[in-house]
Amino acid sequence: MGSNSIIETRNLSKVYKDFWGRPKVQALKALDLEVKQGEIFGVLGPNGSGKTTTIKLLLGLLFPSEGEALIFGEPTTNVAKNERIGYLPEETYLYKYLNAEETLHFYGRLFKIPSRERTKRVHELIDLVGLTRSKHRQLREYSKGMQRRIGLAQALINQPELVLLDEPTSGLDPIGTDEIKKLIVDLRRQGKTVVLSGHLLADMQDICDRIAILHHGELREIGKVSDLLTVQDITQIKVKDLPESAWEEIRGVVSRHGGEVVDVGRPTTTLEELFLRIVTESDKYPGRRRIAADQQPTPAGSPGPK
Amino acid sequence: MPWLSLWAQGTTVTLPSWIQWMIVWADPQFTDARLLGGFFGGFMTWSKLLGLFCLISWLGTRFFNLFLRSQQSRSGQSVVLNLPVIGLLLFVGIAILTAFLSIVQQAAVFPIPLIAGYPIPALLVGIEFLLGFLALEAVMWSSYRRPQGGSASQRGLALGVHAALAAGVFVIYKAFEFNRNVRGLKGSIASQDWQLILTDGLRYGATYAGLVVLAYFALGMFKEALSVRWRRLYSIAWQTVLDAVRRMWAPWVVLVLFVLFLAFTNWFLGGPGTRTPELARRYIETLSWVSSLLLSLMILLLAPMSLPTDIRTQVIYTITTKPVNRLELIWGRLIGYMGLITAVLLVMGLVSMFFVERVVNSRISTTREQAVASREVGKLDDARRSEEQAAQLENKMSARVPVFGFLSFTDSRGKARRKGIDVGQEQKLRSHIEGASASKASWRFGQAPQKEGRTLTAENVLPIERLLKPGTLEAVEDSLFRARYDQAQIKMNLEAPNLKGSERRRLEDRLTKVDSEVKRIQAELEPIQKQERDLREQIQKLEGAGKSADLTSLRAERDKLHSPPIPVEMVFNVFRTSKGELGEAVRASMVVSNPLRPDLELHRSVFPVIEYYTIRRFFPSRMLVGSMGQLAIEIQCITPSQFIGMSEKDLYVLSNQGSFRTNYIAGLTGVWLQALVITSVGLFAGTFLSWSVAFLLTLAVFVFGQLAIGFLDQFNQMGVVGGGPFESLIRLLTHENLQSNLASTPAVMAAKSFDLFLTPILTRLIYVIPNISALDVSNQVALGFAVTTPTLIGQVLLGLGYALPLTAFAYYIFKNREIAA
Repeated sequence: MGSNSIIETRNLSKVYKDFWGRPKVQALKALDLEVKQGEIFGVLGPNGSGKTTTIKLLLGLLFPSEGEALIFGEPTTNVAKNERIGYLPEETYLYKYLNAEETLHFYGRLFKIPSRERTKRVHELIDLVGLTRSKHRQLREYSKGMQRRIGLAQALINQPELVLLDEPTSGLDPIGTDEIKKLIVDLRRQGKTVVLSGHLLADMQDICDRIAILHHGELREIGKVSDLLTVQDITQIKVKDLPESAWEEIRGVVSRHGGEVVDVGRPTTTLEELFLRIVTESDKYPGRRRIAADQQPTPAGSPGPK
Repeated sequence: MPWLSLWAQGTTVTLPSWIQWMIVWADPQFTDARLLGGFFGGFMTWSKLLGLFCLISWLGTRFFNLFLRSQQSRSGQSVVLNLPVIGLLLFVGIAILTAFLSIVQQAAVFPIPLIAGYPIPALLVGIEFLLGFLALEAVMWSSYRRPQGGSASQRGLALGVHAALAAGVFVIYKAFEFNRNVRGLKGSIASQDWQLILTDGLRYGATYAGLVVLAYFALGMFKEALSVRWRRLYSIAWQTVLDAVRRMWAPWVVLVLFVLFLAFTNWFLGGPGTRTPELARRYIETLSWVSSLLLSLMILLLAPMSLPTDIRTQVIYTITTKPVNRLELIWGRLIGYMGLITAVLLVMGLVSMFFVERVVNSRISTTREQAVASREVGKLDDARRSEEQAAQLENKMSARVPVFGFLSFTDSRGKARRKGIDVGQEQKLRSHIEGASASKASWRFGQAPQKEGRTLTAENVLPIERLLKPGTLEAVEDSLFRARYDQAQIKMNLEAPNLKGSERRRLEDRLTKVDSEVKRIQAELEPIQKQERDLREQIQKLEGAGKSADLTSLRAERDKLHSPPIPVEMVFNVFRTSKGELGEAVRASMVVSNPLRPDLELHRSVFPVIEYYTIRRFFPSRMLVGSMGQLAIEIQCITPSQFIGMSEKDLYVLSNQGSFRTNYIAGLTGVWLQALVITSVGLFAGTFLSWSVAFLLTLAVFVFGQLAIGFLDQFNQMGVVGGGPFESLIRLLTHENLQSNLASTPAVMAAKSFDLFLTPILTRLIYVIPNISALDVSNQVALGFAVTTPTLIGQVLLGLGYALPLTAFAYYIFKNREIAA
C-alpha cells in the first residue's frame, strides 16, 4: 500500500449466493484499485456493474468472496476505521420519524464528539445543506432532494477524512446538484478524500480527478479523467477562417490553403461518449480494455470521416 | 458415570479432591444445587450448560461452513448433494435404524443376532459414535485448510478442544486407577473397562471442551465489551424508544388497553360472589398477569421486528458504517426497550397498586362495619367471621417475611416420624395428626434435623435482632446471654491442653473484651429491670385497689419496656372422620419452647382451626431470649376423631411486616425480568431471521416458557406416560388410553423408533427454553409475602442468566452476518 493510499483493493471479488449457498451472481471480479489521499475518485458503471457492491465491500457491509480491501491500511471489518469515514448510501436510509436535528444528533452521538461541539456542527451542517427552515420536520415529510441533503449532512457529521458517496446527486434538482458538486470540490480543498459512484457522467467529469469504469463487475478502465478523455493517436489542428469546401484537403494542405494554425494537440471526447463506448465494447472484448487504433473514440467536435 | 457413583457409595475412601473437582466440573448431569448449593453451584451448572451450547454451536457453524463450501465445485458449478449432506443423512439414518432395532429387541418380535458377542444395536451405536467423532474431526480440521486457513486463535481453539477431550479421558482413567488401587487390584485393565474409560472420558471431555469454547467466546465478547461506549448505547437506546413511540405507538396502545381493562375489572373480579379474603389475591394476581401479558405482547412485536426492519429498510447501513460495534447495536436496543418497559410498567404498576389499595381498603372498611353491625344486633358468629375476613384481607395487603422451620412428626404412640398420617391422594402434600392423642407436629427453627441430611439456611434461623426491639428488656437480656455464652466458650478454649502461647494471648485479650462487654450490658440491663419491676408492682397495687383509670398508661409504659409478642402464622386443613359438633371448630394447641433454655416456662395456647384461613397466634418475646435463633413449636389436635393436616411451609414465624406498596413495586421486578428475557429472545431471533419468523420464534419461546415448562420438565425426567410424540399420535388415532401397552405392529415399532431418536433431542428443550414463568413473583405479593432482597437477587441472576448468553449469541451471529447481502 502506497504511503498516501487511503483505499486499496487486491483481487477483490464478490459472488452473491442463494439460500443454499450456491453461487448466484458474480457481482465483482478481481478488482484492483487504489485511491490516494486528497483526490476525488469516481466509480462509474451502468446499473448492476458492481459500483455499490464495491462501496459496500469497502465499508464492511459485505464480506469479500476473494481478495481483500484495506481502508487507511486496515481491514474493512475494523469498526474503529469508521471514525474517519463518512458514507452516503444510494438511497437515503434514515429513520423517517426523526427530524433533521434529531437525525444528526443521533448519528453524531455515535462518534466521539463533545456535546457542545456536536450541537454546533449539527447547526452548521443543516445550514450547509440548506435545511434550516425544515429542521424540525420529520424526515417522512421531506422530498427526495431534501432527504439526500440530510443524508449528506449525516455523512459529514464527523468531519471525515474519507467520504464515500453513492450517487450523491440523484434526486437533486440542477441547483442542488451544483451545490453538492461545489461541496465535494470544497471537501477536496480541505484535504479530504472523496469516492463517489454514479452514472451522471457530466457531473463526474466536472469534479473527479480519477475515475474507474466498471461493467459486469469488471474494471474496464481507470485513470485520470483528463488522460482518459484524451484521444492518443489523433492530432487536432484548430484552424481559423477555413472555407467549408476545403475539408477534403485539410489534412495535407492546411498551410497551402492559407489557413492559420492556432493550436495543435490531442483531442478529447466527452466522458459520456467514452463510457458508452466501453459499455458497448464490453461484451465483445471481455477483460480490461486494450485501446487499439481502430477503437478510438471520435474527437469531440470533429466532423469525422465522411 | 454409574460405576463411579456406585463405587463411591460402597467405600469410605474418597477420591483425591482434584479428581472430585474435575468430576464436578465435568458431569453436566450433576445438579449443583444439591451438591454445592448457593450461587457457586448455580454458576457452575450455568457455565457447563452454556459451554456445551457453545461447543455445539461452534461445531454446527464449522459444519455449516463446510456445507456452504461444498455447494460449489472446483469448476464453480453448484453441487446438489455434497459430502456433508450425505454424511448427515447417513448419520440420522443409522440412528433411526439403531432405535428401530432396539425397539424390536425389546418387543422380542424376532431375535436379533449377536455379532462378535455384541448385539447389533450396540455395535451400530459404537460405529455411529466412531464415525461421528471422525466426522467432527474432519469438520474441525477441514475449516482450517489453506487458503482459508483460519486465524491462529481459531486453530488454538481447535487444539484446546482436543486437549479438553484428552483431559476428560485422563480424569476418568485416574479415578479408575485410584479405584483399582483402593481395591488392591493388579494387572492390565480389561478391554471393557477401557471402553468405559474412553466413552465416559470423552463425555466428560466434551464438557471441558465446552468450557474451553465458552472461555474463547467469552474472551472475544469481553474484548468487544471493552470498546462499548455509553454515548453510543444511549444513542441507539434513545432511537429505539422513539421508534417504539413514534412509529409503532406501542406504549400508547398498551396503556389504553390497560385502562380499558381496568375500567371493567370490578365486573369480573369484585362481584358479589367473590370471597372477601380472596379479593386482594385475585386483584393483584390478575392485574400483574394483565400487565405482564400486555408488556410481553408489546415487546413480542417490537423486539423481533427491530433489527430485521432496519435491515429491510437498509437504515442499518448508515449505522454500521459509523464506529458502532455489533454488541452496541444489540445492547443499545435492549437498554432502549427495557427503559420503555420500565416506564410503562411503572405507570401500570402504580395505577394498579392504587386501584387495588382503593378496592381492598374499601372492602376492609365495609367488612369491619358489617362486623360492628352484626355485634350490635347480637350476631356474634357473623361479627367474628367478618372480623376474620377483614384480618385476612389486611394480611394480604402486607409484606410478610416468614421464617420456616423443619417439620417432623410424633405419632399417637409417641414415636418420632418423618411424616404424619396419609389420609389419601387429595391431601398427599399434607401429613395429618390425629386429634386427642399424643400425635403432634413439631417445627424446629435454627437447627437442621441431623438424620435427614438437610442443610440449615438463613431462611430457617430466627433473626433475633429483627424480632426483638432494640433497647427493650428482652433484647438486652439476649445480648447478655450471648456475651456470657462467648465468655464461657473462651474460658473453655483456654482450658484446652497444649494451647500455643500466641493463641492463649489472643483468647485472653478476647476474654477481657467480652468481660467488659458483659459488665456494660449488665449495667444497661439493671435500670430496665428495676423500672419494669417498679411498674409491675404499681400495676398490681392499682389493680388491687381497683383504680383502672391510671392502669392504661402504666401498662403502656410497661409494654414499652418489652419487645412486642412474636407472631406465628399457620394455614392448616382439617380432615374430618365425623361431623363433630355442628358450628364448633376443630381445636388445636400450640406449645412454644426455647431448646437452649429449659428453664423458661413453655408458652401454650389453644385456638380454633379455620380451614384455609391464615391463623395468626402470638408468643411472648421472652421465649427468644438466649435462643440463638432456635425455637420449637409443637401443634397438637385437641378435638377427638378429627385430623389436622400440614406441610412444612404451613407454619412460620413472621420476622417482619413490610410495606405493601414497596412489596408491590418489588413484585413488578418479575414482570420486568420476564420482559427482559423476551426482549433478548426477540433481538436474538432478529439477528438472523426475517421479522415474521423471528416473531413466531419469540412467540413460541414465550408460550413454551410460560406454559409448557412443567410439561417439558416432566418430559425431561421421563415422567410423561403414553410415550413420545409419535407413539402419542398413534394412541390418539387408535383411541388407546395412555396406560395400555400397544401391540408390536410395524407402525407402533416405527413410531417408537422415531420417538427413541427424537426424545433425547426434545428433552434438551428444557435447557433451551427460558423458564419465563419462574421469574414471576406476583403470587408471592398476592399472598401478602415480602419479595425479599435474596429472592430479588436470585430472580435478577436468573433473568440475566438467560439474557446475557442470548445477547452474546445474538452478537456473534450479527457480527458474522453480511448485513447488505
